[in-house]
Amino acid sequence: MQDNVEVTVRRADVGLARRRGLAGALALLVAFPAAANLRAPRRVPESPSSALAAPATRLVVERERLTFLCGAEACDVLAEYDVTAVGAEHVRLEMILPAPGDVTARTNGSPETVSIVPAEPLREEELRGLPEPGPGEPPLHRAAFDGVLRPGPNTIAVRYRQPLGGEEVGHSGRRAGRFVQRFRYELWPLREWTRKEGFRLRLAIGVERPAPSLWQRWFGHPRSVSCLTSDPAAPAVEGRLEQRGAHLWLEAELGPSFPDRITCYVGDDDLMPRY
Amino acid sequence: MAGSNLPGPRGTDSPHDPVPEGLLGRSFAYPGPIRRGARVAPEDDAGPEGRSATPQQRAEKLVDRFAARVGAGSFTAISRKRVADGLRVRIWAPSAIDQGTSSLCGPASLLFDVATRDPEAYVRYVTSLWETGQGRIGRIDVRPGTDLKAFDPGRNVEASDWIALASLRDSENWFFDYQEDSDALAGITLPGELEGWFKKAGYTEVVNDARAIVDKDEACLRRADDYFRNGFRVCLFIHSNMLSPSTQGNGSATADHWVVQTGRVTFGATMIEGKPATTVSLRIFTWGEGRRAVPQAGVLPLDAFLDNFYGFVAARY
Repeated sequence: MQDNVEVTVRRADVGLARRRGLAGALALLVAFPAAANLRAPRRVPESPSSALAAPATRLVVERERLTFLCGAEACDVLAEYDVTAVGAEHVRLEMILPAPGDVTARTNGSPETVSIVPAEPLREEELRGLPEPGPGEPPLHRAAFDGVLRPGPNTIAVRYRQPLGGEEVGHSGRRAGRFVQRFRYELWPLREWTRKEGFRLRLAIGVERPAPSLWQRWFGHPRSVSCLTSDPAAPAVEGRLEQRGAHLWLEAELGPSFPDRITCYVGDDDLMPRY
Repeated sequence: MAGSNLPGPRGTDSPHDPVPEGLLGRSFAYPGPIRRGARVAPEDDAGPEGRSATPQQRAEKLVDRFAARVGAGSFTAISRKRVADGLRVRIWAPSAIDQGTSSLCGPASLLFDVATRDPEAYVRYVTSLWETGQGRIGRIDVRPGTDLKAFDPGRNVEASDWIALASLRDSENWFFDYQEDSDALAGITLPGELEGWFKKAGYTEVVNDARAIVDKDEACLRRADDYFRNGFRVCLFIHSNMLSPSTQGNGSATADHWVVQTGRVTFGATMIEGKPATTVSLRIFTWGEGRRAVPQAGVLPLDAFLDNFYGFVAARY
């Protein structure tokens, strides 16, 4: 009889412990839905490109026209500078590149020979200006070319390809998120130039996007583009979005003061950062 | 009190984001070990085997000896070489510890500090787990289950990280079994648990000022930063919304992520949509990045930060 009572009590204890365990588990399930202690997002590291470093000789830069035409994985970049030289100048121009791909440079329409080398070690001014590299970011490269400038106005144009990086957002432990692509452009080298009063940088970013239907505009999240600056006083690049053909274009003008860098995002319109 | 009313820097280090006291050395991935009074011996008087060798050099020797031994390990799907290769990186760059696709941010927060503060102990913990199936972090006796030891994380989680993080998680779970990287629920680390781990790991001062489902206020953030300034390792309990400019404006109902503070909190001021706003920025360890900037770009309004901030656990060894 005594043994039966002990067995019964022991079974009741085990039952109570199980019920408590299940209650605890249910409480955890309620408190932490799918996103419990988040896994790392999927990520594509990227490296920045930069404006041309100021040459040793005295030139005055009047404006830069910077155009990014972005496809699925990379942007074709065209950086055009209007500069004024006092006399005929032979100048060496350099810039930071995110990848050692094809680079073409022209001064006043004439093609120049471009050399590309790894940017190692980084120079002091580059170390001051470039943000710390993230893990796995591709190594930086330095493109250099010599140009012959005539007295008066000149145009320098550089074309290259900038891979898009990106990061998954809105994911949880089991659910895949959406991918927001991005690229960075370093503007701080322009600070070393002699800039004409009223210097302006005209920025145009085109992303592949068919014109969205009315349904997509109201109920969907069509692809969009947005840029942020490194200046906390003016964090957003204020610009105009316009659909032209198969591309959505963001056009903006920066200057005469400008941030150290801009970071631009490409992705669903509800994921575009605002500030 | 920490911070100033000046606009904070973005993207680059500046006097607003100084190297905190107690941090030795600095690189993009690794802010250096926290240890009161610790000094790294100069290279030219540091024999790799002698008493003047740095903790990292002594830890490397432990890894060399581990790699030179023969015999199968307890983690049957992970080779000795993979473990040794991973440890060699983490000795010098503890911020390489990366939970990857697993939900092991809690263990990563504790073990990031262990690997930073005492790389030899970290190496002993991981190599012992691989060789014997058991490891110790202070008074935490880690004995992972058979399923976990047979699992190959592949490229989802680096091998030495998997052994270190998942073993701790699995061993400390009393109800759920943690056996593969997709076990999100079993990977949960609650504030009280992280606090307990720090205490059992031998940390003498541990403060738990976190909760899972109601966000915290500015005073709590400032307290966290004060602890950081005073040499505590500070683990922030957050919702990951704040880690991306795309989602930093979204609120949250619960925390979903642990990160480790690696840079002072900077308060700034800006105008957002025509209204003055206080902003906040800091550096954190998460997902294999030692000094990830928050925000990644632009500005993070303090209100948006607090909507995704659920407090902190601070610990000093």
